[in-house]
Amino acid sequence: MKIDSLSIRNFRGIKDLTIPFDKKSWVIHGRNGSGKSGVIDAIEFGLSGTIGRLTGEGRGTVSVKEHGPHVDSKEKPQEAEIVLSLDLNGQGDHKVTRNCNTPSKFKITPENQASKLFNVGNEIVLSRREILKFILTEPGKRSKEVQSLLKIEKLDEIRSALQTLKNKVGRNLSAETQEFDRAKTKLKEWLKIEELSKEKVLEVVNKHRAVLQLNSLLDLSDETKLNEGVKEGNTKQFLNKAELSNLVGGIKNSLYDVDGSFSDLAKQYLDLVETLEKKEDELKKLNRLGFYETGLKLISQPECPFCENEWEQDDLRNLIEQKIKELSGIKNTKNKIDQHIQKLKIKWRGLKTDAESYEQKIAKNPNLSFSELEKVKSDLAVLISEQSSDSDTFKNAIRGMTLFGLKFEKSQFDSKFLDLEEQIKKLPEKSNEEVSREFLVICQERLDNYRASKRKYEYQKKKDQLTSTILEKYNGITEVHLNNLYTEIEKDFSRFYQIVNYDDEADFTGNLVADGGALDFKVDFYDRGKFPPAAYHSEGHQDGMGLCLYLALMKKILGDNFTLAILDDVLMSIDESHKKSFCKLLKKEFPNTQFIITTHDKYWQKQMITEELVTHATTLHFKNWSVDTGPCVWNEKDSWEEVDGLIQDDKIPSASHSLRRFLEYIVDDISVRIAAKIPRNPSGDYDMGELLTGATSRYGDLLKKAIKSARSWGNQNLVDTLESEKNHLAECLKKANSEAWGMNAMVHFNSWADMDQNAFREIRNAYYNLVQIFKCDSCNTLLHVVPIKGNSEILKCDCGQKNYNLKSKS
Amino acid sequence: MEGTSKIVEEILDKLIEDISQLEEVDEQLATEFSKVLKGDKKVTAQKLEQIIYSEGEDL
Repeated sequence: MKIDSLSIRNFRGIKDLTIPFDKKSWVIHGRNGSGKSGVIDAIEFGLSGTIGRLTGEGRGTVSVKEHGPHVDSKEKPQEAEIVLSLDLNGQGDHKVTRNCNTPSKFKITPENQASKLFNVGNEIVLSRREILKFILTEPGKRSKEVQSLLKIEKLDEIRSALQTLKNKVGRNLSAETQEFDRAKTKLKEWLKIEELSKEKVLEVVNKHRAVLQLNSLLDLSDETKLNEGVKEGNTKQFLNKAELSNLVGGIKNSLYDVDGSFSDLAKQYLDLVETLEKKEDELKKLNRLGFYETGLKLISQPECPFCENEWEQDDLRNLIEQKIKELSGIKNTKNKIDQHIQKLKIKWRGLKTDAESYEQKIAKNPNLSFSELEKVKSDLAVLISEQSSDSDTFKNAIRGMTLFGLKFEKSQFDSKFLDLEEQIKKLPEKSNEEVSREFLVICQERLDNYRASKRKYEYQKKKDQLTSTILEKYNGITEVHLNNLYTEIEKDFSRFYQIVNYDDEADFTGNLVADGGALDFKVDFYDRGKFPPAAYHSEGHQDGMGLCLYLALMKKILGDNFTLAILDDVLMSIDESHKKSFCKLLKKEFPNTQFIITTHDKYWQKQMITEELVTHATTLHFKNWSVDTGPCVWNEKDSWEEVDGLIQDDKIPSASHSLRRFLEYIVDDISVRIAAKIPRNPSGDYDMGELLTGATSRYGDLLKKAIKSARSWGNQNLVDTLESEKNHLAECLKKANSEAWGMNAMVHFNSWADMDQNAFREIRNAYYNLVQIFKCDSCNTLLHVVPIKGNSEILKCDCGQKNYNLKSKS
Repeated sequence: MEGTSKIVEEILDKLIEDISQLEEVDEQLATEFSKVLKGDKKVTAQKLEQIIYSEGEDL
């Protein structure tokens, strides 16, 4: 895509301006505040519907609809209109029209296959702010910026989703592991074995089966019943002393938190809750997180799905992303609280199961009743069924905790436990057969529990392993591909930077390394190692790196389709010699790209011409800007008319200033065209006298060369013409020099009051006549030399009417 | 895959190819996985969980 022309109406600081880009590279030059960036904004808006300068951090409530129109048209955004004529990648000319009333909508004509593909990202418009975000930002943010440019953000989205899933599955696995360990411990305790192996289980079980004269079990499979053959009638209502003692001991240990594990968990939980409570305001907003995340997805639509009004997509997206970021810390704390509550619930569930089991066992023996357990179970049921992990139910239970998060005094239980222990001791001993029957039935119950929890644990483990494998593979594949991609980009980046800094960093290299969600960027510093760009390199070098990295990225993304780039004052910190190298880089490496470059630096603007990145015809000089007129383009006819008007109104000091400024501009332009030396004083400004002397002296030399050449070719008519021009130059110069005092007096506010209109008109005419010498009467263009660099061979105008050979016949 | 680069497609193709070769992943799961990853909508942990561990999985 290339821009053929741009028309701007009532947009930003511009009321009416048309630029005939003609699909060529252009430079727009002017002082700060002359309206250059308004043109860039217009192109960006016309192409994408956004204005980069109005978005991002610190832009607050600034919006395209409200602040895109010229200040005098702020109530009529529909009149702020941009019309772009585009060549869509060789698919013919198309016209794109867009206004500030509906920034996201545009009209493109003709409508055809090419117009359907019109979809421009913001990346073609680059300001210094944008290039530095690739260079100076932290790795995580750089990764996002670069990924966005490369359109690979989806990779981060998938990685994040897989990581979230892995975390969730991991939490579930942790819970199932605890349940499984608990069931295993219970089984081992019942069997009285240290290691749970098939042989050991069978050994213990078969001893009891032998007592009951049941056949020995030879194998222990998933279907094996340890109590196979035990008569049902004999399995009811066991009162096994050991088991009851075991159960009561378990309940007591849990309630009294003998190992302190409950207290530890509870304390951690309360600390987290306290952290959360300090952020009450953010916490209240946490329920909006899902809303924000959903909202972020919906911004892809051009208007609000509720009110159907247009919205500023970038502004809204930035705002919502910021809110999501703010809430993610709270979310993490809340997740940790959830995890702690899950662990506490496992402990509560264990106690409840023990309590229920005990009550079942002693159902027909009132001496062993434990009525206090009813209240315990009911309180536990409330805690277990509570869904919200930071609810008052949990907080109050744990804060007021006396026993296991339950509001009981230890003294309530002490005497009861003593009593129960005594009662259990008094239970009659069973016969060997009864003991074995009881043992096998309970063992089977515990084995069933063990098997169920093992299956759940193994299922979670399988999930965990599969998720880990997928995430691992994903990270591995992504890392390889991204590093290959970044290797290609860093090669181009390093090469571009070497071209620009061939004088002192010819061996420079940079490294881009993807690491998870981050993108590390380090650059060589004079063979002393690799460092972040901001570590040792100057601001100018950082600017250069930014542009080189951008160019390398665009080359990788678009390849031959990188046909348009808008560079808004991107190299302001770079010195002249390196700017010149950039001209060479852009011309050599991107011959098919239309660059539209703004600069306030008149030397770089000249370098772009001498390096043939742009031409005089594709250079736009903004003279000044006002809110009423917008940017004023230098124009010779207008400038003389302005001076004449001021003389007519007897505004002599103003006329002298206008004349002086115009002469600086036009003589500077003439000097570049005829390759005259341009003198500069230490402040970087021109000395008008020296500038004029340099241009006239050079022109005189060129005429002498042309006369010599015409003689050598025997063209006497041309010799006569050129001699006449030479004499005319001398006369005009003499007259201008004689009037120079008056000009200086005016500019420096000396004795201006004494100069009348006629006297100043003399000065004006002297300089007018002098300027006309450098022009062609026919096409009215300034003469220029060919080639513009090296030995000049021809002096000519654009139409060819004046065409002087500078090379003599050898 | 509008707005997504060729690089993303290459990475996802390779991932799906590698995942298809896992013992615990059948053809249907690989297809579903591909649909979610390459779809236009946002990829979330919930969607991935739904397709990787469908309900009714044998316990």
